[in-house]
Amino acid sequence: MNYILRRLLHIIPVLFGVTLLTFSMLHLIPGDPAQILAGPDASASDIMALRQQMGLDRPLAVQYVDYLKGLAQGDLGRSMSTRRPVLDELMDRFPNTLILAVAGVGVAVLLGIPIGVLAAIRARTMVDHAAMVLALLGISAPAFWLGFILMMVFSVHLGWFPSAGYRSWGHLVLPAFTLGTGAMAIVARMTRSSLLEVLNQDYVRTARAKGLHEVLVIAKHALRNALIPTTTVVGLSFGSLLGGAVLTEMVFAWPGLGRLIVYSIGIRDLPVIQGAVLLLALTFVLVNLGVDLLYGLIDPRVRRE
Amino acid sequence: MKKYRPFMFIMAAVITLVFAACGGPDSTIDRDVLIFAIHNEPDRLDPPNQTDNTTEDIVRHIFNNLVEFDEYLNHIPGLAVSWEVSEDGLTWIFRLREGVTFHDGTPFNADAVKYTLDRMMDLEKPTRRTSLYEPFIDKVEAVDEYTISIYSEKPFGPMLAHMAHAAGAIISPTAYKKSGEDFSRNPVGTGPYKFVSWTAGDRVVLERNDDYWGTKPKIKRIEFISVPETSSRMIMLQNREAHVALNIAPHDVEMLEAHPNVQISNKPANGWYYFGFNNQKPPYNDVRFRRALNYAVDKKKLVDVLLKGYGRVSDSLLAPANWGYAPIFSYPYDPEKARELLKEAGIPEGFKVKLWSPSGRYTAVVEVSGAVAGYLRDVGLDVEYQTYEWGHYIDIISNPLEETEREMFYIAHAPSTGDADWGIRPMYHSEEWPMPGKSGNNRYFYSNPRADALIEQGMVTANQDKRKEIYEELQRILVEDAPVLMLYEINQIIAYSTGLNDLTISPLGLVFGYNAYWSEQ
Repeated sequence: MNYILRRLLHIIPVLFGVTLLTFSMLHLIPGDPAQILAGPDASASDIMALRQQMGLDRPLAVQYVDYLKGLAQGDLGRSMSTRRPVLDELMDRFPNTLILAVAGVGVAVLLGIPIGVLAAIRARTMVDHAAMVLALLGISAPAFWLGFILMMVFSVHLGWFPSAGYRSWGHLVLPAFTLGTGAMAIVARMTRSSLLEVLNQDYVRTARAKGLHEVLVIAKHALRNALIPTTTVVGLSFGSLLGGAVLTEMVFAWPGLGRLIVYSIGIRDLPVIQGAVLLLALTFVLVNLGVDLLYGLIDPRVRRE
Repeated sequence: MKKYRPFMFIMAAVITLVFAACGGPDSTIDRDVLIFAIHNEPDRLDPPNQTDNTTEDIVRHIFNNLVEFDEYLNHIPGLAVSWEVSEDGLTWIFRLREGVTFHDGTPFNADAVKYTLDRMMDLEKPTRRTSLYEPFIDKVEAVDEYTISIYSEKPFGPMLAHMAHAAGAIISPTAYKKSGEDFSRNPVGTGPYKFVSWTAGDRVVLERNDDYWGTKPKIKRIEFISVPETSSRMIMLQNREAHVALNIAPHDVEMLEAHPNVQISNKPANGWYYFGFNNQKPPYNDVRFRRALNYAVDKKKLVDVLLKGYGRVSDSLLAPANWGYAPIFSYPYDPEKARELLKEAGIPEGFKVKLWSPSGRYTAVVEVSGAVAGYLRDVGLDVEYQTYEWGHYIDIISNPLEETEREMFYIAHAPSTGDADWGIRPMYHSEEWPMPGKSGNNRYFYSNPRADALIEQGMVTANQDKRKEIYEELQRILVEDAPVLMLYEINQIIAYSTGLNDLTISPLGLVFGYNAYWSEQ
């Protein structure tokens, strides 16, 4: 319990660092939000009014301190473009990104582990080679390419799933596969190698010697131990899927956080970018903590206390 | 079974190739729904606070103006049935349409108009478009329930065009008082469609206004879905998951046209495209140098090859779709003449010039800029061509003379009032130079006292025929002065579903669905 509390407290300086970093980086990149937002043919007075309205005419340090003050009270500011509270903008999108990331991890786990197991028990056969080539392709395929290929095949030609948008569960299938494929490949490779290692251990030989059915040997004895490294990989990839869903969200017009960030960077909507990065950082840290705690469940030796 | 799973993808792909001819999604149409695939999410559905085309498109479905544009940007009665201007040009009187109500039941009358205009002119809380009204309107007065008077200190020629600008749409005072800043998420107007919902990042849904004062729309519901990727928009269109897609690139037309579910509309728009020069930086301050650059580029080829013919070589600094346009002259492609002029201007062979463009945003901008760099090299200039991300670009082409390094930079202008005044004044008047602490759109630092005088004259002349003459002379001076490298206008290409009729296409780069209907199947 103490451990969890300590880990949670560690989050605060991490987030503080994140705000300082994003704030200074955002003010280092060229581009004037007021000018972009007002449009190329806006008049001088419109642009000045906007700058004032957005508080961009104050010194940087003052802007940062005000931002931190707001943050301490749970106020992330208002979007420069929509004038809505940043928190509302984020919370409208975050659940969608979460759904997509969970579905992506689902694809990675449900396909990656069986493929890895198959490759391990048929090691150095055609099945193994085919599975590993597939995994390599999965890691290498960029989301915008894979996304469009899946769309062409399953939406345009086969008509099984809708192409882009966000309306039904059907809309989730193609983006989830696009997003999950890379992680699936990593999970498959990790499962294969750690299972191969475990399969040579004495206790597996003992299990086999007891006359246990091979399926039981693998499922009950070998896999449980082999899954520890896989869990780390899954946890880490969940974090990166959350942040890395940008391309998938763009291709499939998925109304998630990634798209919001890309759009906001384009128009230099500083409060939204800051808020979104902060939210992603927080999630990433929490997911990592979750993974660490999960070890304890899978492997009692790791348990603290 | 498990071991076959990896091969399911491959099998699916093979099956696809085999069945490609007979595949295809369900193409039945719900004739009550029209779906626009738009490229970015709208920002604020509040008329004077929207600044981009997609938002304006939605806003114009929800609201009406006193004066509206027809498909040729003529001014036609909207919420005003008639108007007149006093002899001295200082008072405009608008007679309002009776029996109109806002979507929330608030009656439309002179008070609503006064409220709307007063709100825009409030300098304490300026809107993003306050400068379209505040400098020209002195006072607004509700004369009676259905008459409104607008007073100015000086006559203002383009008054009607500014009234027809999307920012001038009349809002429901009741709704605005109730929602305040949130009005842009709960817009209430008098237009053909009512606002229903806005799912952030996904779509805006509108529903037919059954009490609409004008021609009743035929389609019950319009949805605007934001789909950032061009290819995704095209696929949705082919699948009939979306019915209208704007801003189609010329090189995609052929592929779309070949699809049985898609048809193409190709019409002129009111924007034009060019390279601005820094007219103060030597040798750009020499008109011979600027003209030489204009002669050096084969504009016709750019249009025919890089725009696939979906454009027109410009013959003025204003597109023909705008009020006040006059055809003047396009510098023909004449590299010999360009070399001669360069020689006259004392430019040595291998003279270094800088050419900038954004890395996107405009149709074929990088290809065109690359080609222009080539043409300029052909006449002996040493061109350094560089692209920039838009947010950075707009910054470095908008800074004051003292700070800037710009020489030639790609930019476009589509006057949102469709009028010569807005097309020329902010761009070429010498008081519109960007200065330290003050932005401006005369990014070329162009200055000609005669042009300034004509610009001012056009602005304060109320007689529209006289204004046309003024602008013709003005455009002649501008083309002769060549403050920019004139390129072309690009057509507005729209892809939409077969079976869909009577989309309203405005040269302002907008498409409206309020007259549209689906054919019987």
